[in-house]
This record gives sequence, structure tokens and C-alpha cells, in this order.
Amino acid sequence: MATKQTVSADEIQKIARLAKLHLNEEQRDLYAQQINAILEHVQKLQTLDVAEVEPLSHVLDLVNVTRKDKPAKSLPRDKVLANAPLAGPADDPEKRATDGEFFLVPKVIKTDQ
Amino acid sequence: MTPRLSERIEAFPAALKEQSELNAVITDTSSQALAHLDGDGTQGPLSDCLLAIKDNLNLVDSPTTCASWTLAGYISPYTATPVQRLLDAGAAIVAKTNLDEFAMGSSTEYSCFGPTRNPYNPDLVPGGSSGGSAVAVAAELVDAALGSDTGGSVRQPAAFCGLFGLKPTYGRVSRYGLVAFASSFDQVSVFARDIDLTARVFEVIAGHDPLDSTSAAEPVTSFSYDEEHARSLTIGIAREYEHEGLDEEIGSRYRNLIKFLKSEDFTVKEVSLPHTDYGIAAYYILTTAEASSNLARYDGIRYGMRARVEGDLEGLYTDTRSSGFGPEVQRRIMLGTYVLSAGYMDRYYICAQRVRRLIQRDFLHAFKEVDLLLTPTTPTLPFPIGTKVDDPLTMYLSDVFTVPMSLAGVPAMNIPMGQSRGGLPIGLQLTANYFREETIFQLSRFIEQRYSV
Repeated sequence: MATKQTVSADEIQKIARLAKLHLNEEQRDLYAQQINAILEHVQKLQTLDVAEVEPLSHVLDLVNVTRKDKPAKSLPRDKVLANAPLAGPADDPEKRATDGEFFLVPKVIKTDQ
Repeated sequence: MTPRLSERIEAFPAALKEQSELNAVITDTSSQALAHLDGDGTQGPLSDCLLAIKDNLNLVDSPTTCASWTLAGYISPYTATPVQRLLDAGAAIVAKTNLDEFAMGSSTEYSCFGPTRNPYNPDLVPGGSSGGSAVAVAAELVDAALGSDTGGSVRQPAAFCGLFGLKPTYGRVSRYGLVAFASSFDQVSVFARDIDLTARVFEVIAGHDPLDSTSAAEPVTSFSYDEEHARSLTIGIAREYEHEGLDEEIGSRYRNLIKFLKSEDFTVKEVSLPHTDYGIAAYYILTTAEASSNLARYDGIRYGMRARVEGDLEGLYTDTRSSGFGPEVQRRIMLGTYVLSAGYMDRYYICAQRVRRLIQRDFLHAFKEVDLLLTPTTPTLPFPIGTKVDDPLTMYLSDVFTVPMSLAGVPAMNIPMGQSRGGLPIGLQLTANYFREETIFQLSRFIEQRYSV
């Protein structure tokens, strides 16, 4: 399919980085081709004169809803931590990434020691 | 005598096994339903009804997968508001159904659990993204089911499986507990085999919910059929839906129904929805943009799947998302990220929002003249599994008749219209003005009673 190149393979790589996705070369080229085909189709919007039309972000005329700022129950900690990701060491694949009090994540602070 | 609800729930696993090749269900929740059954069940408008829910709706103590590896290991700690309302109305929820991953797709092929098959012909797709719910109802595993409709995800599978499929007005049904895809479009929707149950389920789930600030306060009226009212409705037909790609059998069914309504002395008027053809373009810009933002939450930190990496946090995010999301979800996240990125936002996203207003105006103008719009639901009959899965643009174009209503936020419903010569379901779509679901029910009931294909 002869598709106009709106987005290059390099740009696809850049977008993937922004979206926190890692692509191999094959995926990058396939997505580039498919996304270009879609972008070519959406160019038809450029043929409409919409400069004077107010953008519509939400179909109902919603007003901001506020409630009284009073404490209410949230999920208990053990219920929340029970859903911690399955990310145990190789010898214990059922272990979840929690110490019972917090979620466990890789170390994010670099130290010199 | 109809069997007791408990007997029907007990019989569900065997029935499911018999229909296992359809792959409609991800999680059988019948044992939970049975355990919670209180004697003969709660008395209410849905007593004695078996229901299924799409697996992007939360039910406490059951997995919510969204048909994605991303949510592997997640067990919901709470129940979605519309699901709770079904339970309170006496329904038994026996299954969580297959879908396109995170509701992105039109065929229920993009599922990490494999495709769902059409009960009329297992080589064909059931439509999507709520294909599992549609098939569960069409195969008579359940009486009715909930899906979610963002751009046609209930109306199109209803058309492909011969069911009623109602997408209510945007904001009609609480989305508390529905996993978000495109928040200015998503709406919890209903499948059933007849209009009365469709209306009854809708009335149970509709109405304001303090837990969803986008849910509307508009009162929900109770549907009771009134032939005189039905006959007083003015029907609009739009020439933009006489599309060159429209299947010949669907087209002739459409024209026959119009002829029938005229012969019954309905007022049928031609109206114009001039921006119909721009719907797909605007829809796929806006929904992918919203999806790229909504799906940023899946980072492998607090729930769901986490890729086992040694190394830094950045690597954890990227490896988790790359191995958790399937190709269609990745494609849409990237397209959405692109149309929102610096330098392109005005050209794509803002422009699509302006076109969205033009499409909304088309409907508002039409509804000054008519009560309902009658259109086809899909341009084609169900297509074979595997034929569109690698060509996203062609897949997107199959939503041409359902996305305009989603862009405008108006209610629309598929009504089954018999079968094609080859024995495949045909569906037509009725669309009403905001919060006028009841007028759709009136005319549908008239057609259901009076019109034989």
C-alpha cells in the first residue's frame, strides 16, 4: 500500500518512548505503516472550515460538582495491598510486590555508598 | 413452570461447557452468584434473570481482566454501580464476558483469551468490542448482558448477533467501576433478545450516582407501550446513510422497513446529517487521545502485571507496558500520544473537537424535525475472523454508522431485522434525542409486534 509518510519510523520511536512502550524494529515499521494509513484518512478533516467553530470537549453541559469535604471510608489497606503486582523472585512466583505495609518498587534513589 | 433461579444458576456451568467453542466467557461467576443467593433470590424487576457482564466492569472478589495481560492477577475489591443495581434488582450475575482488549476493537479478536465466535457461524466475528456479552445472550446462556459502547461496541455486535443492543444517552448510566477507555464517549449499555427486557435492564441501571460526577440527574421514566404514542412519532431518514459500501441485503431490509412504516401512516421525513462522513476521522483522533491518557495508569506499580526486570523504574514501566498491552492497544496509545504531542495538537485534536461540534449540530437540527432517526447499524454483515485484524483502518471504517451518535452522545439502539439469505443477522439502528430512550422503545416495540421481515 502506497501510504504518504506523515510520521517517520524515527518519530514512531520517539512517540513510543513518550508512551513508555518499547518497540523492536519490526514493530516500529509495522506501526509506522499502519499509523500513517490512519493519519492519511483523518486528513479529510482539514477540508472543513472549522476556524469559527468552538471545540466540543463534552457533549452535556456539565457543571463542576463539588461535595462537602468530610472524611469517608476508603478501601482498607490490606484489600489494596492484596492486589499488588505479582512480581516475586524466581523461586516464589506467587509473591506480590508488597511488604504488607507498602508497595515494593525498584530503588529510585541513587547513593554513592 | 419456570425453573427456580437457583436451578438455572446451577445449570449454567454445563451450558457454558456445551458452548465453549464460542469463547464468550472469561470468568464463570455462577458459584459466587449461587453462594450469594438469598433463598429464592431478591425480589425485584430482574428477579429470575441470569445476566452476564463485560469483563471491563468490576464485580467484587472476581478478576477484572479487560482481556489484557496487563491486569493479570487483579481481583476487584469493589462492585461497579450498574452491576450493583442489577444485583439489587434480583438478577444473578453468572459470567464475565470476553471483549477486545480494553474495549478497543470491532470484532472481539484482540483479546488475550483468543477470539469470540459468532453463534450463527463460528468462522465469523460476533462484532465487538462487547462480543462476549452479545454471544452469551444470542446463545441463550443468559437472558441479558451489559456491555460498554464507546463508538458502537454494543450496537454493532447486537447487529451481528441478532439482538437488541441499546447505547443510552452519554451520562445516563453511572460508570463507577467501568474501566475507562475514552471518557467523553464510554457508556454502559444493554443486550437482550426482546425489547421489554432491554428496557427493564436499562431502567434498573440508569440514573444519577454520586460516585460518578458525569452521571446525569435526568429522571428515568418507566417504559410502558402505547401504540398511539408509537404511531405519533416522526421518523427521519438520512441520505448520508445510503452509503456506497452498504451491503445490498441490509440496504433492501432498510428500504422495506421505511416502506412498511409509510404504509402504516407514519410520517417519514428526509433529513440531512451532512458531517456523517467525517465521523470516523474525528472519533479515532479523540478516542485514542483520551485512551493514551486513561491507560497511562497501567504502570505495574500498584496492581496488575509487573514485568520482572532488574534495573530502574523507567525500565519497569516500559517493560511492563510493552509486554502487557497487545498490538491494537499499543497502536491506539501511540496514535493518541501523537495527536496530543507538541506541534500537532491543533492540527488533530482541537480540529477533531471542532468537527465533533458540527456532528452534534447535525443531530440537534435533525431532532427539531423528527423524533427518531432510522439508519442501518453496520455497512456489512458479520465478516470472517482474521480478515481485518491486521488492517486497523479497514476495521475502523466498519464503525461508520455508529460513531456519529457516540460523538454527539445521543442514545441509539440496534433492532434485529431477521436474517440474510445466507442466514446471518441483519440489524437497523434507531437514534433519539438526548434522554429520549423511551421513544426508541416505543417504535421498536411497534416494529417487533407488527412487522415481519
